[in-house]
Amino acid sequence: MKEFFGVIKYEFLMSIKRKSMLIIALLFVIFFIANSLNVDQAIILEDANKETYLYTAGQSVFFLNLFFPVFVGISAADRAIRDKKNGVKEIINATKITNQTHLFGKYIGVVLSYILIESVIVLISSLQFIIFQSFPLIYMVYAFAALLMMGFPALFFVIGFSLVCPFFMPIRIYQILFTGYWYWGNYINPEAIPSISHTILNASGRFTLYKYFERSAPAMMNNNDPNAILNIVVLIALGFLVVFAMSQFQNKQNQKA
Amino acid sequence: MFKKIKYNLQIFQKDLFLFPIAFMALFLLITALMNDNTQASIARSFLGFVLPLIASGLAAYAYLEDKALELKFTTNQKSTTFIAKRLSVILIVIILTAFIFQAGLKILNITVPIQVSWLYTQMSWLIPSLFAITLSGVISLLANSSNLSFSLMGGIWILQVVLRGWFANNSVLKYIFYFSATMNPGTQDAYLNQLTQTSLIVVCIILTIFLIKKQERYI
Repeated sequence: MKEFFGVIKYEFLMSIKRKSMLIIALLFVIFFIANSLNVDQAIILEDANKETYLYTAGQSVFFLNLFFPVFVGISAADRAIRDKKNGVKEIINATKITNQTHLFGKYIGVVLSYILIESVIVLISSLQFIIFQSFPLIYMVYAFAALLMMGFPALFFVIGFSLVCPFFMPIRIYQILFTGYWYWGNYINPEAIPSISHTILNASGRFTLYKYFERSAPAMMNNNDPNAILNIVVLIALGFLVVFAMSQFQNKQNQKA
Repeated sequence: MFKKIKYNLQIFQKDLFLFPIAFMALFLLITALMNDNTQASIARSFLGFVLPLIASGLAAYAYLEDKALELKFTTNQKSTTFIAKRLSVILIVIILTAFIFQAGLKILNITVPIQVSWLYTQMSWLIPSLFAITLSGVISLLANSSNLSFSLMGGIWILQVVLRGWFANNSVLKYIFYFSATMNPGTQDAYLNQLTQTSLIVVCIILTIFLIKKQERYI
């Protein structure tokens, strides 16, 4: 366990200390907050109740999910493959750290770093609503509930695949495919083009938004929409599963070597 | 000449150039499987929406991923020649992909989505792709990171795709919006957008020349 927490700590610090990454995150934050300033205050004040605040919190995180996971998926893609590229994998293999400990440590460390960045974004955005738009303090709770249910599952899902897929294809190809996938797999109407956007694999937070945060949820919900909680569980489980599968694959490779 | 092209292809890895062709083949297949109403829309999407993404993905890695970069900087090659060589290879691949795609549509007897005129259609994907290539290159040099360049370019692309209506109606952003010429063909805004993007391409190239001269940053 000591090694596992050591890997988590190292990966977390390495990921969070990338200055240029923070600058790019900041650019997206500015865009996100500038957009949240566009929320029609008159409408909100006129109809200010719990449902309105829940709706605003859900919409804000849903909007953040449009682009933040794309940034995360692309930037996290080099985190695991870099050990192989830098030739340190053999050195790691010579230590007590197993493939499972190393990959899961990396996974959790990277996920935590982006969770921190996303939480700061939501915190700043919520404070903006509370200070400048006279939202009650409870709005902060709603915003973090939305983040927990819509933002974090997407991060677990995206980072799992971003760590593993570059082992099987050039990183640039993965990044282009991933960007295209995010739009195709989450936002395209499957009636227009075959897509997985209306399945349990949708990572945009749409089902959670409709179920728990949307004011007109019954109208927005489709009878065939998957269960929101199941959607969250599947996304997180898939993230862990893909990392576990990769660690097993690496074990097999080490045995062959 | 051919040796130089071969060398540049080797730097970028051949599979990266097979990728746009494979992606194009996939879109061609999807287009062929769709009904008549959606065929033109999907074909237009590939040219106007997908090509700029592929272009920015390839261009993000154009300068900094060469293992012989340090060696290159010791030669007396002009920075403009260096940039032209790197960008032209990507541009050729994008142009070839677009033309093969359009030829494929003709062979499959699918109506090629000509908007306004043949030249306008070609400009509707070429200008945004070129803008994506040059901008992606500038960001990679500014951030000194290929990965970060594409993180930003990917984020910008997805924002523009998902919020395309908002971008198209925004009084300022509509002029730098990638997909204006594809979404609103032949309008005054679309022509102004192409003009703005062309100007920005020139600005990006000048910036690239300036940045590439600061060789010590990249080695």
